[in-house]
Amino acid sequence: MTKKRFPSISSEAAKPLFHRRHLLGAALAAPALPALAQFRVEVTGVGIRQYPIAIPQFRGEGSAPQKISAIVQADLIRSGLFKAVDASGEELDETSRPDVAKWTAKGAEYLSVGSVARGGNGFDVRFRLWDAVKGADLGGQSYNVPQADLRLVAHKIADYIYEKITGEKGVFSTRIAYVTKNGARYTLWVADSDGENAQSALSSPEPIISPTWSPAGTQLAYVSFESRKPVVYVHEVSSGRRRLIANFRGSNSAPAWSPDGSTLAVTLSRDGGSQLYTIPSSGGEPRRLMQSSGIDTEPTYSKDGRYIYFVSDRGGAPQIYRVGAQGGGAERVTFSGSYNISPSISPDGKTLAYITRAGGGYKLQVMDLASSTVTSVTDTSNDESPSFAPNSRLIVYATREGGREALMTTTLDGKIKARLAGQNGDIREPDWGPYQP
Amino acid sequence: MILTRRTPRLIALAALWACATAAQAALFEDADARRAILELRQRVDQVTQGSNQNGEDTSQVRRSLLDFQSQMESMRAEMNKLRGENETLRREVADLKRGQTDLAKGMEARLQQFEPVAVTVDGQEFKADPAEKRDFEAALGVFRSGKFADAASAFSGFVQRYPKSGYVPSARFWLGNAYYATRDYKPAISNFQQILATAPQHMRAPDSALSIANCQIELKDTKAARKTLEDLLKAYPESDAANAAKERLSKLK
Repeated sequence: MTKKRFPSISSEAAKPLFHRRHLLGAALAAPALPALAQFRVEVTGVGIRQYPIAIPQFRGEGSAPQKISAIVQADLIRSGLFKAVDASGEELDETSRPDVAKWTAKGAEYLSVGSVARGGNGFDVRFRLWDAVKGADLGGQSYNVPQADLRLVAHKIADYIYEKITGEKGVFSTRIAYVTKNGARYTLWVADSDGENAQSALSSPEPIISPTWSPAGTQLAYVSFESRKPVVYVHEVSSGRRRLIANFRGSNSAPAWSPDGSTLAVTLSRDGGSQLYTIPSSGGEPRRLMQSSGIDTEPTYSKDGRYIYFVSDRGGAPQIYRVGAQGGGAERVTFSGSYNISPSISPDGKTLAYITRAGGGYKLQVMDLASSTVTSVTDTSNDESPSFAPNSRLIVYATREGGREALMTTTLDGKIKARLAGQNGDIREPDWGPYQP
Repeated sequence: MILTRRTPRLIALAALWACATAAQAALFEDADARRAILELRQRVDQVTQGSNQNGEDTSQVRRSLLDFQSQMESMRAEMNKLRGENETLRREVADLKRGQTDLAKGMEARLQQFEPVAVTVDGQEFKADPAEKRDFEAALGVFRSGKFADAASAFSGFVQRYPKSGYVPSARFWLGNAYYATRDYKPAISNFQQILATAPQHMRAPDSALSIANCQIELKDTKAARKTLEDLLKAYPESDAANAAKERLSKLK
């Protein structure tokens, strides 16, 4: 019924079915930390090629409210593909012709230099990337932004560097939505991909669950219990305006956007058991997708829009299935394990991430769809809500690690993990947004 | 209604009216009244009975509905379990099929190592086992490298190992040549002669005859050599070897 955990058949439709972590959260209510404490990057994992990069302080950075060079460096490290070369005490800018021999001697293969200055409507930020080995200028960018966008500029610089060096598009300037529970207060946050700069989109004394980004990254669909029952809303992030999409008899839950943004797949129990429906994202009459003899929920569209992956217990235990986006016969996808939930499909369509229950724990699994090979990529056992980065290289998920609730990112092979920690209390239901235009 | 001075009078009027009604009732016959009462009682009894019956019927229906519902529920659970098993079985069958195809493909690839392949050597087309082909080509490689003693033992081993092989005439030809090169003329001659005896139409036959003559010349058996060359000219007049034979004959004279 909720996107959280697969519901049991006997549960009441309108009652939120939370994972046991809600209970734990109450019992372990942490002492209040600053609400926006710094997210830390803790990278684990070895044996991978990492590009050594030096990012000295940008000239003039000291007088700006954000340390651009530090944000860029933390982004790159979190990707798992870079390691930082110490550049403390140095200050270069984009006009400097760096002494590459000195930097290669320190072990740097790349060097990013820049400057921050007041100007225009806020700040001028400029930077340049150097290949320290070849002594080659790899280009640069300049931005004029209001103070509020300084972090965004840092993420864009990190994206530029990431793409220049790895050849793949970076995801640092994208956003992540997640939900926290502090005491009895639920808050839906929209944060930068490093978890910083979190802006509250909605706060409620009743649960908020299943936030999910629209394909254009302008709206969030979610389920709110503010009217004491699960109701689906679509929320415009920039204006805070929202509209009610599904408020039918019974429960309304687990919204999922079609890739063209025109349709939402939802779980409704208005005609009895929990079943899948599609509904125009502008609102309207739901259309039933299938008739099944079990509970169907947690729909998610494949990125080509042809299929809807979902969870069903039609085979006696929750498993992941897929069905044509217009309905028809469903095909079972997961076969290992007797309890598989929370499917997420990578944007490149190659990988399925989901949660399996095994030995009393909930573990993130990654399935290569072409070969059906499944790998377990975490050593934690309270994993939930996986969601892919738009470049299909990382998965964000919620878990419990070292006795704390945390959002983690992992590479698909599980070798590199980074912890986005900082919000106190329960933190869960992350959803990674699309590339920003 | 507001209580006024007039209220007592109203009450008195009502009492009067009631008395009048009672007097009127007394006008009915007692028997009629009794009968009407009995009828009514009977009707009430009937209704009560009917209602009890209905109640029983209803709880009966309710019980069977509940029963039916629980049966439905257990059938649904049973059906889901079977569907799950069916899904798993179908998957296993698909896996087995794929496994079998892979196995068959692997087997095919392995069998191919042993299956005869079509080869063309010295204008002869025939089927040879991969091992046979490999051994022949290896021996020929040794010959080409100029190690004639090794080539002789390689080719004689080949002829012994594959006496029925399509390669035999060619193998004997190279064996003969290997012996010739190592000045072992007698076994050379016998190999060339076997070619002429068993495969007179072989492309190498005229060359074999010429080689026999060469061996005989080396053995100073001029007479035999002349005879061999003359036979060659008769048997293979159109061959390149025939031209060489004519030249040799003229030198022998």
